[in-house]
Amino acid sequence: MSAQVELVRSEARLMTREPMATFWVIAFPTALLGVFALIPTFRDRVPELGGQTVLDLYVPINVTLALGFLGLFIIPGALATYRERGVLRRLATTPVGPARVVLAQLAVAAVVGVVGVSLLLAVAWGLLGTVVPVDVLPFAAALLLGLLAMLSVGVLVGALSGTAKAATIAGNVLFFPMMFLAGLYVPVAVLGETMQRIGELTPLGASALVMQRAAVGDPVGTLPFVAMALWTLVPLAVAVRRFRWE
Amino acid sequence: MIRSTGRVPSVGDMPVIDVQHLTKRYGERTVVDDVSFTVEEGEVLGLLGHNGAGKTTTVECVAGLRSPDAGTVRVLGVDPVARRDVARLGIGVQLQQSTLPDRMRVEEALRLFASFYPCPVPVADLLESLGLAEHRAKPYRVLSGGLKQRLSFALALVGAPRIAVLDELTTGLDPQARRDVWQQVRDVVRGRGVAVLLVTHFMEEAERLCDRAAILSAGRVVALDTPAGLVERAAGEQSLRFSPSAPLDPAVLRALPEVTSVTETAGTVHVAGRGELVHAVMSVLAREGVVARGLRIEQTTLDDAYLALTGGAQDDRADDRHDDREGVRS
Repeated sequence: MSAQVELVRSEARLMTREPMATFWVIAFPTALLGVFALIPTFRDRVPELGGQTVLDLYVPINVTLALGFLGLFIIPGALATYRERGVLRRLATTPVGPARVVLAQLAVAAVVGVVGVSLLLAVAWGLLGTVVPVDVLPFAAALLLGLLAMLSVGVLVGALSGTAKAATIAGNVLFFPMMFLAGLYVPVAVLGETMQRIGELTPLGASALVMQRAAVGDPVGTLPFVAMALWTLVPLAVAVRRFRWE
Repeated sequence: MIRSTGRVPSVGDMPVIDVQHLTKRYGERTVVDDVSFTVEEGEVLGLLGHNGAGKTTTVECVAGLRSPDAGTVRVLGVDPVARRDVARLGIGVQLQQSTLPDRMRVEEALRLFASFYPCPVPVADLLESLGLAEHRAKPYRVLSGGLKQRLSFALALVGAPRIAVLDELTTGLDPQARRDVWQQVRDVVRGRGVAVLLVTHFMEEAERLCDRAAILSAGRVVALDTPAGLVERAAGEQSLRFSPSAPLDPAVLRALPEVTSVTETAGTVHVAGRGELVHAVMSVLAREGVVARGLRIEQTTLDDAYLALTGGAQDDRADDRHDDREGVRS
């Protein structure tokens, strides 16, 4: 137990010394929302959006942006670097084994994600006056499941990438379509019915969609939750079986 | 039932490491082939060989990182793969090509690894005895090669193991740093009564540190003896070179029982042989009234023994391929 605590503390310390890693999850999504808030039309209420502003829509999207950076870059990069540098192999020769350091990295990554999202929501709701969710429970559930799904996806990408370079490439390849389907580049409504359906099945698309619906009290449906649950369980199960320790 | 961790069974007179007929294959290629050796309590055993001779794979089997394809490995009396819990408490490993996170500091690394073991060596003591105290706050990234190896060595010792496995501890270090590390191995390891399995391709390192050494070539143990024993076994071959002050009939030298060969090139005579070669040759020269100018006596070193036992240059070529393979694997 104390070894696990020490590993988490150690990973947390190392994370605070990696300013770029924390920047993309903690600072960037909030900063980007701040930039969007400067665009006057983003603050107009749009009847087609159920009276929401474009900025309101971007709050959940930027939440998923933070989760995307976390699951597609931070976690795979950290795991692949440890593998590449022989840290996992070295730990395999100690009584605690290498799996504990992976757990420690996930724990720290989860905290970084929660800090990033909390900052974003605090700024959005407190400073920018975006819509506060009507249905808090589904909103929180979508956020939590989105986080878990991206931790799981992150472990899988990190489990299978032999090197840090491979992890970065894999992260990039997955990042753009996933963020696209979450509506970062154009509103999901513009994408058409088929793309919306597909987006609903991706972890970030499902998470953003449920948060957007819950914000205005629309019915959220069950399919996105099923999708996020599967994105949490399946990648994790595959990662556990296929993890490359060296 | 699994015994409570933290207790290592007493091994009494048993060797702390017992490897018998170990064989390990990667695909079609046999990298370790019927290797047997033991390491006794408090002993330093060297594993010598070219890159690709099977040293690292052998060590990985001892450390429980790989399962043998055939043969048995016992560490402190247990199978290091099946009983990781027991073996890993008693064995401290320094791995080749294993690094730490760039931003982790020396003391943090030691404290972290100390937390993995039930009865670690006090971190302050290790920092002091390995000369790391003044570097304790430095991040891993800025450490010199010598300091990185010293830290790696310290991490292998922090769990107070009964066995330390040191894989290429001094590779890549400059001669001074290498000597410093050797001194530390002698002081710390022998001071703590730890048995050591030392992988190296430096003969000098083996001569200075090892009680016994096994020479591996193409996955097989070709010799296992004390460093002095290996030198003797390899040859007893000595040779003399000199320029005779007057013409000398090689047949006179060839007639000596100690001499195995005499060659002459550009006025330099080269005599090879065994036993009391120098004395025999000098007596003949004195009798013939010939002075040996620029006399040089060459004795077999562990280097020569190593080359003789591993088949020298031929192996080098074969091992270049192994190098590539190992690079890919690790």
